[in-house]
Amino acid sequence: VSELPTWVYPQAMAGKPAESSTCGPVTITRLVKDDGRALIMYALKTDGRPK
Amino acid sequence: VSDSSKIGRRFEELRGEQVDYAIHRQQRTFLPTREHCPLCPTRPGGPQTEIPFPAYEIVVFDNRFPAFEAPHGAAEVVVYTDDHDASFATLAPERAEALMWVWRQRYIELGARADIDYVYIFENRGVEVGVTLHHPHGQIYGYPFLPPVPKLELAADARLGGCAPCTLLARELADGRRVLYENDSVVVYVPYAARWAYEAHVLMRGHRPSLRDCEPKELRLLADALQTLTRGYDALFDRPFPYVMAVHQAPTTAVEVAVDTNEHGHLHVEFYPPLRTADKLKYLAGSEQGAGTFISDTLPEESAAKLREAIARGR
Repeated sequence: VSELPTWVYPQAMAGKPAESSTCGPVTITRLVKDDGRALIMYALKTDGRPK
Repeated sequence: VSDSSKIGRRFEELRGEQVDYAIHRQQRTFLPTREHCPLCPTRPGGPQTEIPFPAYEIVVFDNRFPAFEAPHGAAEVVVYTDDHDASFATLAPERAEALMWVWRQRYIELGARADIDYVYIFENRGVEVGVTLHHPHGQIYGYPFLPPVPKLELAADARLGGCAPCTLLARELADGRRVLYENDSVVVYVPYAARWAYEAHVLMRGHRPSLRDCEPKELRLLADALQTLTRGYDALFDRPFPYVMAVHQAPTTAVEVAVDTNEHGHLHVEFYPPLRTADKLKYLAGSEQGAGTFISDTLPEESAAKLREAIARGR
């Protein structure tokens, strides 16, 4: 996600709050496509699962 | 519906039901070749897909051809993996567990929106149920109203004098003949009055209205039960087994019902597989469509016995 192609940008650039959050065993990265549609990337955390 | 509107709703008086129109969906991508799959990663030098990265784990994005969209609902696509040839059943257990958390996060976020009354997570698998993209994925509809089936489930609560899934689960466990699989948190069974030959319901043992109410261990065991069932399905006829997978949870709007069920709704997942043999489909035909009466060709107890054997082979 660090190198974004030209047709997506971080949600913060769409005037929305930037959020880099976690949810259980996943980290969440929020992006916006150039047509305005949301794109949410979920990656498994490397530090283990919640018990 | 008007010429200027792609999305609209009409009420069908004879059946007392609404019909939603999403006319632009007629143009949606239909069974593309794998080289043009819009859900595959965008690889260097390759075509631009919906997901602009050369690799990913789980992705959710707004449907390009939505049946519902803000400020009157939502339609999202949930891509399980970047492996075009995988399936929910073949995901690594950690990935399937992570998917439960993704579902939970989308339920909470979409359910918090004022324009969404019901968050419906589902998967259509196989061309037999109308899949248009083979890449493993599901969908989420955020309905701006309470749809008829969840409404019927609330009516069942009132009819049974409490949480209907809790009551039905107790009956299935007491009978036992249709139970397919159990773990500490989840029970899988062919329901007593199954409509489809290999219909199965996956229920939380405890009264959990939604994914939001589940403990981490329960989410892990839900993923385990869902994968156990879907692997069994694939083993049943030794072929990819088509199904509709429907996640039923509590509405995300206030509902009025005639009975106190200690929060309305009980998280469960229903599977509607159209195959009645390895190569024969159950069609919704005259009786089902014209009279609203399902005619089944199989007994749930016999189907359950076959599915238990298949689950043992698929593990």
